[in-house]
Amino acid sequence: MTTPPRATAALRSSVAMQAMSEVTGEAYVRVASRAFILAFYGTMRNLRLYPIENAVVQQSLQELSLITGDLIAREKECEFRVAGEFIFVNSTRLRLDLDNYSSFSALLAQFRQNGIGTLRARTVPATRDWTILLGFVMNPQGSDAEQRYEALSRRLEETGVEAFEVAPLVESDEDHGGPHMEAKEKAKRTYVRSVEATKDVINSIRMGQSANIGKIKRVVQGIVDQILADETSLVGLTAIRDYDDYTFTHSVNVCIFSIALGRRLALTRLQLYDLGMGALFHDIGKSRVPLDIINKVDVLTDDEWRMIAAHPWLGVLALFSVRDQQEFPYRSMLVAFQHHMKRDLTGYPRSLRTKTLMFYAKIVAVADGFDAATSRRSYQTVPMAPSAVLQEMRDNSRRGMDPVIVKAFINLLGIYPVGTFLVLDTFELAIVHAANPDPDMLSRPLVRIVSDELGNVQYPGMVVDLTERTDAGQFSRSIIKTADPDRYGIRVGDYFV
Amino acid sequence: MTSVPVPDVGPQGLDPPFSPTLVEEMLGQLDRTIRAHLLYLNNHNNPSYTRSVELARAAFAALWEQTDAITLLVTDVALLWYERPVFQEPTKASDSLPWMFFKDGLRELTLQQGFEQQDLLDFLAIIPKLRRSQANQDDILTLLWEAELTTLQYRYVEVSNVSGESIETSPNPGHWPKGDGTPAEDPKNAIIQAQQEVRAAAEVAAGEEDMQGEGTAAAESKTRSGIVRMEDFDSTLYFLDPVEVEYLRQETVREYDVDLRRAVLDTLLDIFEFQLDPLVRSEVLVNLEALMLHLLSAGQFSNVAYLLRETMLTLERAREVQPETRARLASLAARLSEPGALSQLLEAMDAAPTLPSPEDLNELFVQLHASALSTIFAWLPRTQNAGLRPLLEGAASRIAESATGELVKLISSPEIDVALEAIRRCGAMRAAAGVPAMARVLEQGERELRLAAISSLSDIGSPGALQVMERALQDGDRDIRVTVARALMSRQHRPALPKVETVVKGKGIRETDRTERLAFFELYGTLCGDTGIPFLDGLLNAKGGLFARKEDPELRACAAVALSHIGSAGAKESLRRAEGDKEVIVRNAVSRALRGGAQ
Repeated sequence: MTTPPRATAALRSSVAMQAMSEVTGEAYVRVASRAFILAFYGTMRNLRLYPIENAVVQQSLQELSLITGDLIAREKECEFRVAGEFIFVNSTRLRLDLDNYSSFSALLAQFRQNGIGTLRARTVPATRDWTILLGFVMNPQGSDAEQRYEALSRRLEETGVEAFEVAPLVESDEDHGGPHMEAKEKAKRTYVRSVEATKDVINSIRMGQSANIGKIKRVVQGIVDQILADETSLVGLTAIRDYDDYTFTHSVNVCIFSIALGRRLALTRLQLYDLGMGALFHDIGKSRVPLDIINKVDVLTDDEWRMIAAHPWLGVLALFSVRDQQEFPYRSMLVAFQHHMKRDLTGYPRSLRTKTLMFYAKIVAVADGFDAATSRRSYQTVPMAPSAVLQEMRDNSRRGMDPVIVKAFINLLGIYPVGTFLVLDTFELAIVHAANPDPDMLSRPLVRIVSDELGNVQYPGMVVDLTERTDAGQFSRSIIKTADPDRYGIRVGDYFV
Repeated sequence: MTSVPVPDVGPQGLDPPFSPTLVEEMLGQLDRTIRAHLLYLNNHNNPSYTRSVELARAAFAALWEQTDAITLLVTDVALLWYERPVFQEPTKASDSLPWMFFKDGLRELTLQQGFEQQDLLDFLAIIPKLRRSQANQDDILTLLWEAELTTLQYRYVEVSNVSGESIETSPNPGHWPKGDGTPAEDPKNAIIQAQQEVRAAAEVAAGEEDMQGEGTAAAESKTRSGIVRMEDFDSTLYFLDPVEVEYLRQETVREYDVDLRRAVLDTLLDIFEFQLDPLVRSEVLVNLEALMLHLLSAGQFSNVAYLLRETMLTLERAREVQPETRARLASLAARLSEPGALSQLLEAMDAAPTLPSPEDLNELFVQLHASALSTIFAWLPRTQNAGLRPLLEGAASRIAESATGELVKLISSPEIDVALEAIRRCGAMRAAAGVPAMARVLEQGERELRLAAISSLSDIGSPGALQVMERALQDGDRDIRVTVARALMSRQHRPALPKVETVVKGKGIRETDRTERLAFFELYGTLCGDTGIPFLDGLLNAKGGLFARKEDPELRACAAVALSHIGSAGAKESLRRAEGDKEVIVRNAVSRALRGGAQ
């Protein structure tokens, strides 16, 4: 076994190595694995762009070797294994974040394409070893994954590369999920792309740069198409409630809810697109509010509240920098301006000239209010239960929501919206999976059983329809109460991914 | 159309059902039609372009005799049909049809019968937008989605670096607690608590049966426990009744009836009024200016007029507006009136196939300032648009009447069209303030301007105007002199008599042409009264002889005309003495004078 190469000072100072040196145990594996993926992906990209002898490529290869060597030195093994859509490193499943998933997905795709299920480093690979492996991975031989894997194995043997050991990819039953799995995967792709594009635009505006309006348009078009094809999967993803990226996921969630609602209101495809653009941009004004105010945990001062309350009209100004080929996004500006005004115009901001709210602004107000109230935020660590939010919107006219739109929204989500944590009369615990497609049964959604009556956890749990009846004609299961999933440490999002 | 990401595979190993030639010809013609569309972008009535579209339709028609639809695979340099290249373009240039599709991710294209009708035209309309688009803006997938072509389907792959295939679950999904360190109760507690609450609710319900009228207490108890009864939820509450459905439909209609641009203008002005921060107001101003230009380009003239009107209203109401901000906002209308901006606007209007409504245009023109006058004057003689001219005339009249100073200033404009128009309008308006400027024109202006000035001065007819005209009796230009003489005659300006007398009694009168001579004699006759009879009689009835010359017959005829203008008894007596003159021209002039009497 060769000892890990002594890293140069330049490499040691790299952020990744620094981070690896500061942690231990499982945390170290995660940090090192993440660094490995980024280095692997970065090296492949550099190999596409530059010749092998180029300094950039050489440095990438060295870094890859360093990270691998560090893993071997500290963990005594370095194994990457692909199972379904997950990657395991030394038996620890990698956590995916929104800012590294493209590298993650690229690596996953390369492994799958080449039929590689496991890549193990027996010893610290040299630059030559990496070059041979990556060269083959990027230019595989064979018409399918199996042939490519066999060709890779032969190649490694023929070239005397002993540092690596590969094992073939084993397809699990989970991989053949049929049309539903395909729809779910598509929904996830759409959702993640939407969040990424929204983040890109909002950050661009925050930094005073021009925004990528083309990407946003594609995103909204994708959401419209997804809602029209299979609403359930995409609406279900709104239950993930990513706290760290709240601003971006909130915008996407409001967009999804609005388009889904608009579909129920028989809007055309292009009308849904208009609505979706307005919904996605409704909080764009927050890009001009200091982050420390937006993320503040304590009570806001009057001045801070005024800054937050300025985001509707700040959104109008921000959108002047987001311009299509020929037109300003007028409708989105109006939605941004009006979405907190309330139906009787007693909300904010003040206006002398607005006499009545735009229809789409009222729709977005409902979607925005629901998503905001049901999300955990810096100042709202305990969100309201979704069903309670709907009840509040329906019963409290001071909220200023259009009652007909609220009614349609409840029709869309059901009385117990997606993600609501329930206790059934069988004393099973469940999470609402989707509204019941039968409009007569809004109070009997499709639910996923997550625990039996004895408290035994079930994952992913089976989906049942609460309209199912026994032989005697009684409902097999009924809801007796809602509960707070956070109180019991339940991560609702896991059941929708 | 469908738009799903798929790998780029097509029908493999199959023979095409008919000759690829038809497909090749169709695609070749389509490519030519696209190029024609770009070449004649502003003139789709061009015969070459319309012919190109017809040829494309014919090519499609020939294809549809063999099939109802055709699917093409897209590569970077070719379009394939049954794995055969049917269109190739080796260079990956922006005008390459395969590359145009391929670079944005499009991998398969299906055209259906009927595409060559409206969808073809809509497809062609997309192409210039693609060529115009900058980085990070609309690609072909976005534009095709918006176009909603019913006879074109496509499949694509995502070419961005955003793949987003997976959202991660927690490290141990379904494991409770979730392990992020936050405190959590055992979920079994939820079950236990629910069981307790159900028992409690059941006891309350049992008690209800014994205690009528305490439904409120039972309800409160139910609420406290959080237990819900399914019977309480009447799903019909959440059906939308017909009135509500109609309400939503009307709201959708209203949404698209709203003038978005005007609504955004209102929004900006609201922000300006309510936000006192100078930086915010400055930004609003920048956006208003940008919007105004955009509205002008889009022909949204009523909205421009609305903007200008509302800015003045805003200035009246807004508090704590800094002077420079106030000036800048107030200057929006003035900026539109500037020559550069207004010329652009008028040029666009003049070239437009259809004009906006007269109401819209008038609404805009009402907002123009005095500084717009010169531009309007410059455009009036050259506008091609018959509908535009009367509107410009109206605008010019309105501004000229309210800004006479500007009108007078334009008399001295170096642009002849502008000066000419200014002179004419001064006359039409009887604007005496323009007399000094016109005097200067008469001294040193172009001939056309001087002629126009005389006409206007005559229209003005003030003593000062006539005095100015008098000076032009001796102008070096014959036409000027004649025009002045006639104009002074129409005004019967007696102060000009000495000058006129000098002319008619001078030797030079014999050198002038007939028209000029006549004009001066007519003027003299109009002004001199009986005091001129001896001189005129002397011209008309001179006998001639050894020491006296008989005058030229034409001059004598002019004298007869002048006498007719005097018209008194003495003048008639002089005319009668010449009735039998042997010169025909004299005899005729006398005869006419006696018949017509005083002119």
